[in-house]
Amino acid sequence: MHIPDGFLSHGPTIAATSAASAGAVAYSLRAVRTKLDERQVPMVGLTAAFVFAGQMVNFPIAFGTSGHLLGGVLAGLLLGPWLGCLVMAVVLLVQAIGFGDGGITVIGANISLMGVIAAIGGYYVFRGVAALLPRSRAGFLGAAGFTAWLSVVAASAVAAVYLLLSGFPQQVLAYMIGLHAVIGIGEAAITVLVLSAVLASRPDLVAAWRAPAGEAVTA
Amino acid sequence: MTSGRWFLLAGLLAALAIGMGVSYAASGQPDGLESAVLKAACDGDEACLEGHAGPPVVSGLDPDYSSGWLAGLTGVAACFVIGSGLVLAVRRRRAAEASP
Repeated sequence: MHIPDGFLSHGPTIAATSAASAGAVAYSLRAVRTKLDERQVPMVGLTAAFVFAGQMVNFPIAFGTSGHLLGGVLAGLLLGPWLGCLVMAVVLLVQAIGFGDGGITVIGANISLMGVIAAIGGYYVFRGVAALLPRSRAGFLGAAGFTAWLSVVAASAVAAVYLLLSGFPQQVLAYMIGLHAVIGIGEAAITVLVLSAVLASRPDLVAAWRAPAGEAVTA
Repeated sequence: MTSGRWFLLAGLLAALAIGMGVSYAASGQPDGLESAVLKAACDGDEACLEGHAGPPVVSGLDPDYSSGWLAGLTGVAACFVIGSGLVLAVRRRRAAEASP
């Protein structure tokens, strides 16, 4: 899902995604400053490290294609939407600057996909889905798995729109959504697996588990 | 050691194990975005895909890590340090604002 340099040639798309992502990161920093829960402090670096490691492991799917964890919903549910967005921005910056994975000029586009859509959007979609399900561990994990899958499909659709605006053929939309609908199953499985492990040992460290429906969102 | 420190240590070890070990088993096939572009715009030609990506914007930003474990160690450590540093800076600033 990491868009490399050169793929986006449409100036307004690059400018708009850069501005939107800068705004999201700035707002997230502000929100975190007022709402930071002390229990989250050690979890931030750990979540960033785990998402980075998870993104290194491409798993094969059909059609000569592989996928990897995005981790946006995982970060959002563990830490809340704003810290989740910041963690994804840290991971994407380290990958782009240190590893050439994802472009420098399109860092805003990549943050918009994995930080804004997956972490922030994913958190709020999760809250809506979870409200429809029983308030139980199974309901929580079911909502998390569905939201993780949806975040990959939604991010792929938006990435495809970025590509279309840069002159790629229309078929890229169907390929992006079709392939990522399969990759999203892996995302859902990893997200549910990790959340299950954390809930089994330290449920107090899962921000979305602590915040019942209707309660103010933590950082 | 408190349960929080044990949890942190276990989580870091898991991240390092994935980044330095499990990543060796990662698939080398194109990821979803590359594959979609290959199929939609390049007729499966990988040279065409590289042509779309173009040269690096800043040279030297795509280091050739001779060992996958080193890349995993470097990336996991960098993300942990920067992520922790960010939240500690936020906490310090909040404390400074709260003090009279």
